[in-house]
Amino acid sequence: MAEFHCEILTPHRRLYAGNAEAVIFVTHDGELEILDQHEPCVMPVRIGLLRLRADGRTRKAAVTEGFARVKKGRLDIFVDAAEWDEEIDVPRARSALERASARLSSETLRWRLDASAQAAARARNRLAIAASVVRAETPAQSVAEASPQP
Amino acid sequence: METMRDIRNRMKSVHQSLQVTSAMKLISTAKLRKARRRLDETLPYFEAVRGAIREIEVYAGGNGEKWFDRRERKEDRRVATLVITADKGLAGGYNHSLIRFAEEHCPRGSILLLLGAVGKRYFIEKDYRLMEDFAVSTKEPTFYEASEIAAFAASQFISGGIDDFRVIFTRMHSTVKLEPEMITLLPLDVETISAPGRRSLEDTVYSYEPDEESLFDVLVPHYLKGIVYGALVQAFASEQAARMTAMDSASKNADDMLDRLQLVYNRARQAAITSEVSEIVAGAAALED
Repeated sequence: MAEFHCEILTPHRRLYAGNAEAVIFVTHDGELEILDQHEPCVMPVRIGLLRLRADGRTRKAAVTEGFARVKKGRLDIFVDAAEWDEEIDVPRARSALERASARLSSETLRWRLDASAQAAARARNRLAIAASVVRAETPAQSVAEASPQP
Repeated sequence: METMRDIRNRMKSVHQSLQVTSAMKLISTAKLRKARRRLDETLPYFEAVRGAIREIEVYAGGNGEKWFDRRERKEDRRVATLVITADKGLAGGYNHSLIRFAEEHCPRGSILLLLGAVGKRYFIEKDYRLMEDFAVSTKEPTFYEASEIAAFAASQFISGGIDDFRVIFTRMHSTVKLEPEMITLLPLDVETISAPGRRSLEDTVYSYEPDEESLFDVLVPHYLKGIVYGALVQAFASEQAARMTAMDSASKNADDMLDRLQLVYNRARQAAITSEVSEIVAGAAALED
């Protein structure tokens, strides 16, 4: 399958730099698969699952918000945070979810509520993706399970 | 002529200073190593986001979009500058050169957003308008803090509270080459970003999903966050490098001073012995007579 260069960058690390056959992530109107020869374009990236196929193997990662840019033979994804599924810190995500849920029920300011909802979505996304690793032997289910939170 | 005791006291105090400066040097060396690692992790993102935005902007063409709005006809432009200094001194010329650079580039009466205690202490008495005190310490900057600053700047820009947003920080070219630098973040400007000397832009025309306006609403806050965070990390690494160099030369100076004082001390000791001997000899001679 035709390959293109893909980089996934966060302020804290370079998650991936190398060739890829296909990259699937969540954008403003649902999942999007980028293949080689995609037209140059720029789009937002939403919190969700990112799948990257390279050398016949599919890797999964949890990503938060950012943007992606496609140009000739190249895809760059810039997000605030990204981890491979096996790296996800489950206890941390769980406590983040608890904190965010607590704030959601106590905050009154609009922007704080928005921030808490975002935090909760990030944590849920991480937990869902981490859970799909544990049950990795059922791929069909894991994909369904790890699909992005609304 | 100083007595032996005076010299001994001075040597003691120089020795104590030497202990302090060499301890500080060791600390900042360790911190610098850590900061460099973080800088290495951040730099690819920082550079790539800048590059990407530069390319994307050129093709957006800046056709009256709100993020490109230069508001040229507006009188009383509100120029806001984020100035990143250190919380502490004893870092050689680090704070001083940054403050001087900031004064050169920020017209009197413009708005400053200050990070770092040294800058705050200095500018609070000057002819500038200070806006929003972020309780952010410039050591160990976090991405969360950068997002907060970026969100503030973006909302102020959109609401018209500020018309320009710039950031001044110290860029670390190498451990010994630290230079203050200014990046203009808002409004997005096709001309400054694609300045001559930059590599020529490839002929790519991007399509924007879902549409230009809502894409830029996502893009710009991320861009600001990334650049502000990058600037914070750079500034922290520069501060440590500056402090390390300053403390290194302070330790060297203290060493030299100790050497010199040792010589003076020896001379004073010899002089004392000589005068004692001559007194004894003179005394003995007086007895003989």
